Amino acid sequence: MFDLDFPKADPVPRGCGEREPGGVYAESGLSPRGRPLEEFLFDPPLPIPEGLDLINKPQLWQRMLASGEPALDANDLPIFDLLIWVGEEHYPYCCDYLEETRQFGSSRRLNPNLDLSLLSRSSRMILAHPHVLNLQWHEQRPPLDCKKAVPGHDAALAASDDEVEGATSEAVEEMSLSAFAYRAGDHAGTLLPALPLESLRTGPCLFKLWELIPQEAAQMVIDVAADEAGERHPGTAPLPLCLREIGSTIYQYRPTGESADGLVPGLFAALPITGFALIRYHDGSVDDRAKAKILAGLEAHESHALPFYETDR
Amino acid sequence: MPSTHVPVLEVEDEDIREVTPATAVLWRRLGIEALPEHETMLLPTERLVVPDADHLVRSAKRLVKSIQHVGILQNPSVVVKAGADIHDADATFEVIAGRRRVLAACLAGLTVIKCEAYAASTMPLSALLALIENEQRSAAWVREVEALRCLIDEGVGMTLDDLAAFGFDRATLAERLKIAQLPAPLLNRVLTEGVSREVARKLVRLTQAQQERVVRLADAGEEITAERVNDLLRAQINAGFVPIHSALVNGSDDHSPGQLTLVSNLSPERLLTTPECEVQAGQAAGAGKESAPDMCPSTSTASMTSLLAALHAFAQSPDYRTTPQAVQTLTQALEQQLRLALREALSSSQSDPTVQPHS
Repeated sequence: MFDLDFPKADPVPRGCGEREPGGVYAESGLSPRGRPLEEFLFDPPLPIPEGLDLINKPQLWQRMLASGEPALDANDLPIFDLLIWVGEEHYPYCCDYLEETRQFGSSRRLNPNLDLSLLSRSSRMILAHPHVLNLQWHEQRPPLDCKKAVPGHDAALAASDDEVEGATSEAVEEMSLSAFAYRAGDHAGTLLPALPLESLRTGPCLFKLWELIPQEAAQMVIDVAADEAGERHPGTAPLPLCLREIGSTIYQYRPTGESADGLVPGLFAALPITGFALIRYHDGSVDDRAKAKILAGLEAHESHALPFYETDR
Repeated sequence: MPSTHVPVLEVEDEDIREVTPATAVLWRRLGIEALPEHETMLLPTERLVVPDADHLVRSAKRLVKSIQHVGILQNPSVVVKAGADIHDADATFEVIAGRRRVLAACLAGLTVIKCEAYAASTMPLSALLALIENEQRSAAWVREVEALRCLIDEGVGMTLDDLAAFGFDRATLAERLKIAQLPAPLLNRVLTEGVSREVARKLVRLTQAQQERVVRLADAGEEITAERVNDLLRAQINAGFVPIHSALVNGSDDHSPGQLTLVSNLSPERLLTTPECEVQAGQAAGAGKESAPDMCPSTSTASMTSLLAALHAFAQSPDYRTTPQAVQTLTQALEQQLRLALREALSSSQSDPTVQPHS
């Protein structure tokens, strides 16, 4: 039917707890030949389409071409994506979910009433979080590090440095352009093609979110002495190194103390789906309805179908 | 038990007395000539029996606040227990419609409730009465929307919190409020043309431009159907997905099935016990992919692997459990960060990008 040795998410306790008996989960597993998480992220994050009722309602959405025609997969079948809301009750910060995914892969519980047979290897988990789109980005410092190396963010860094305070707008623009050229040159040919110059500061950077997590959210704060080498925004004191624990994940961030009030719901990732996990009940059975739909998907999508496995946790 | 004076209210219910032919047919199918005799009465709560009360208490609690504020606005229907007359001072009554209201009234401390008391009933008739009342109430959302619109138009400065104090369910109220705020031409159609609640909820999700389009369509004689509104809503959401779908469509052409995965965790145990190249090549083959490119770790990744293994061994040792929490946290953090760094170092040796990045 399919090779059982497909990439799976690690069954560790997560921010949302342990997986529940009888649950059906869509997974984005990790593979040694996979691609970095950053390649699956939207940077800048995207607004949730108007009218989409997504909060706590995982749903399937058919992918369309710009022409309005349905997008088709390798078997000429329509592609459906999973739209998933990552709730703040379990993941107060979007970074919580991203860092957990980076460490252990992604595992999202699905409503077994969804027609899982529509999902195939072309499907993605499109994720939304309530605090991801930064409306105050233009008033804040660009992030120290944009891991997608979006040139616009880097260029804006120079324009907002304290050292350019008082400079004429022409001078600021010149500095911005030169910084842009320099940084874009750094990353040329790696991730993104160079953007046209007029697209400077293209929007909020997803990686700013790490800097907006308050220091109080950390389990451990390591102060960096002023004379030590540490990450810092130009002209500012070194940022404290914070360790935050969520589920089984511990990750570091450096809060700038800037306001996170401008964060609104947005889409931040489109993760590949590597398969389904059916969690066994105590009697060893699994959700029959969900399994039947997954099996129907195997039949419909053949070699392009998503595999599944049954597990106790 | 002290006897309770039960005032009997005169009923002038023209709606019930005017039986249409269709209703007459319905009565015959239920084995009756007409609705049984009934009166509006004030009944002590102690003489009311609520079937399945245990299951309803929770949902009834929601009504307590509004009953405390304004009382019961729609009389529950009750039927006297078999063998008794509705005017007997000790007759008990079973609630056939309005069970939550009666329970909530009891919880609110009311001792007497105004009811529609039926002299007799049969099981089918009781079921039908309950059904009719629920059906009548199912259209009540329109009245609620009208009332909210009236409050808005009158400029009454009430907030959701103010209304929630009356016991309204906040989510339901918010939904009604959104409907009440629809543009007037559209709201009028919703209120007067029997648009279902489901369709109204979807109309709310349309942008103003789309709502105006619906009005134009309706003005041109087109019916506001669920299908029509669904189509408009879907098209609107799809327009919002264009950047994502374009990126995904472009990206999906560039990878073979199975390659679209996140770069993996590398288990330190496996790396320790097996030569790295073999393990990684084996994992790649197991994942159903072509043979792995050259992924042998460099000297730097080998030292990271050793350090990761040492940290992992420490985290598993008895000594670790006795170390301060801060040390444990730091150890875990270091282990996870090192694992990520190792992963990135190894994945960077691959030169076959399978996914188009999103910008």
